[in-house]
Amino acid sequence: MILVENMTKIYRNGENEVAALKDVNLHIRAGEFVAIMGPSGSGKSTLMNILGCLDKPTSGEYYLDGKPISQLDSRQLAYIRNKKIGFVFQNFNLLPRMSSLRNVEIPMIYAGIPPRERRIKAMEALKSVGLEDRWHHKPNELSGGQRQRVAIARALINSPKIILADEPTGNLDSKSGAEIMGIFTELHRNGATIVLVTHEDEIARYAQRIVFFRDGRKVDEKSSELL
Amino acid sequence: MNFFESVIIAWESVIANKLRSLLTMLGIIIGVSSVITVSALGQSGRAAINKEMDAFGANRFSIYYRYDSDDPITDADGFTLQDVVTIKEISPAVENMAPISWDSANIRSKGKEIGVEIVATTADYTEIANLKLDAGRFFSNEDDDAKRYVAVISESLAKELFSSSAAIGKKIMVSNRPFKVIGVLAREESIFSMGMDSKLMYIPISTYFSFSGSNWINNIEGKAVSQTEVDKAIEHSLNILHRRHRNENKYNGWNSQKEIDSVNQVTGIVTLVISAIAGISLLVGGIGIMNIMLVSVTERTREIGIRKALGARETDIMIQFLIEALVLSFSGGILGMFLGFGLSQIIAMFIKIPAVISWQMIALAFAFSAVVGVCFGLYPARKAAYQDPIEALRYE
Repeated sequence: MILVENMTKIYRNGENEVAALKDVNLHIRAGEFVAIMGPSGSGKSTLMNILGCLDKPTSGEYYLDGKPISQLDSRQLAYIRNKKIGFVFQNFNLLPRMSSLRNVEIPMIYAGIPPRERRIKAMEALKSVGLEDRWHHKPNELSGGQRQRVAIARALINSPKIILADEPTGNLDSKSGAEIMGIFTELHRNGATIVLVTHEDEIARYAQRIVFFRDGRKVDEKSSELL
Repeated sequence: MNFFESVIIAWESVIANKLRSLLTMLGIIIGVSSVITVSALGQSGRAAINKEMDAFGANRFSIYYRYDSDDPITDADGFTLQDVVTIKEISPAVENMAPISWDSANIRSKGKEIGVEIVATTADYTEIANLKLDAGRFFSNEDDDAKRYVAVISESLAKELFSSSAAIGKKIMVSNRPFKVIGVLAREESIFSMGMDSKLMYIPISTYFSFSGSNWINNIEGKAVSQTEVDKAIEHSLNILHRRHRNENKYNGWNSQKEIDSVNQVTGIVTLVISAIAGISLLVGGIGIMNIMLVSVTERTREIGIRKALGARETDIMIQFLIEALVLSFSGGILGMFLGFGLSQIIAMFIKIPAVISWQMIALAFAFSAVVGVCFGLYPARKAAYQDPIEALRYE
């Protein structure tokens, strides 16, 4: 499903060149639940951005469903982000002026789904994360855990095959974090491929496999039972 | 993304920043309202002038002296009563003609003394100028031939001296000669008179010659057989006059069409100047919209990043911001339109001509707003569309 070959990402900042990823190779099979761990600056987020088709590698190739991403134009990349990938961010990234329902509807707007159908599906998605009675609330009227559940409902709305979660519990208390991880576990059980960035061992333990990064390199890989 | 939804979303963001949006729209509001006001009043002004000219008589013309030539006008160049008779006889284009001598005098009646304009002419003048009477009659050719001391006075003069209907048969003293009032003219409603009616006294020209000692005719008023014959009537009149007086370039002709043309020229220039001002304010308004859209794009950098991460294409983002600019400029256009309607009605009330508001003007206002919205919304929208999603997501 996800195949990364000899991937390097270099950021240029004036004269300085910073290598965020160095010669990374990674294979994630369909249906796998993988956690990526490492200290800050280890390249985890850069990897996630590339996996999410928000960024392109400097060299190397990223194959998604066997197709090289470097060949795609911005329109096709937008399509992949819309249909194949669901993003969950540490800071939720909900649009503050919109209700939960409207936030969940956004990916469907870009998928061209008509308004009535959107509303029904968004309502169902909110129900599945236990927030059907909060559909008209704006993000600032919700707790952190509730916001992240709205964000998950939004990430899942177009039924993507891959969920990319960048520290999804980073801004949550441990109880809310556990709830969120429960949702991910459930998704994984239903066949979703999940890639999760975290620096907490308890969170990483929910995954099947853990990949360690340091200074832009993949340094280790092990099953979560060994943690 | 659905167009209608984009409009709703854009409208919500306009409403969310009411004061800012209103200030942004101000340039457009002023531009569109001035375009509407100017064109509404310009059109109705033109219509009023044309109506006035029609009432004046489209086949009317006037012959007068050329005081701009090098040799001065002498007594030998002066119009004579015989000139008028001859032109009427010879030219097939001339239907009627009357000489006019103007003078001013102080008149007395019942101890009141008033300065008036004396218009000395022949009986034909009433037909040429289409004069309407409130009471009595105009003087006849017999009155003229017999040099009778009779007068027809304007309504305002009649009101000042007597009450209008009671004026008939009353005496007016002009240079110690008693004139008998035989007619009172109807009040003339004209946009040029601005509600003021001049104090006029019409008397037979032969009477005027005999009591004033002058036989100077100031101009000749004529009427052509039809509107298309006016130019020919003037040409004939000038030729005959020059031949009879054995001179050249002493006289000139005037007709109402020339007046209409020159009025149209003036209103055209005024319209052009104010339209230019309106254009400038639309330009400034457009820059205002561009400015606020750039602010909005910066403020919502993160939103752009989020939308892109969720699958928005560059065109989706571009359309969203373009529509927002259009909603701003259209709202400004609509507000400007109402303001323009209001202003033109108010001004119309003061200058007493109805404001003409046409659908073309509404279309024009909308077209202006649309052009401004698209032109000045495009750059900010493009800037939004081509944001790097990663940097946009990181923006605080």
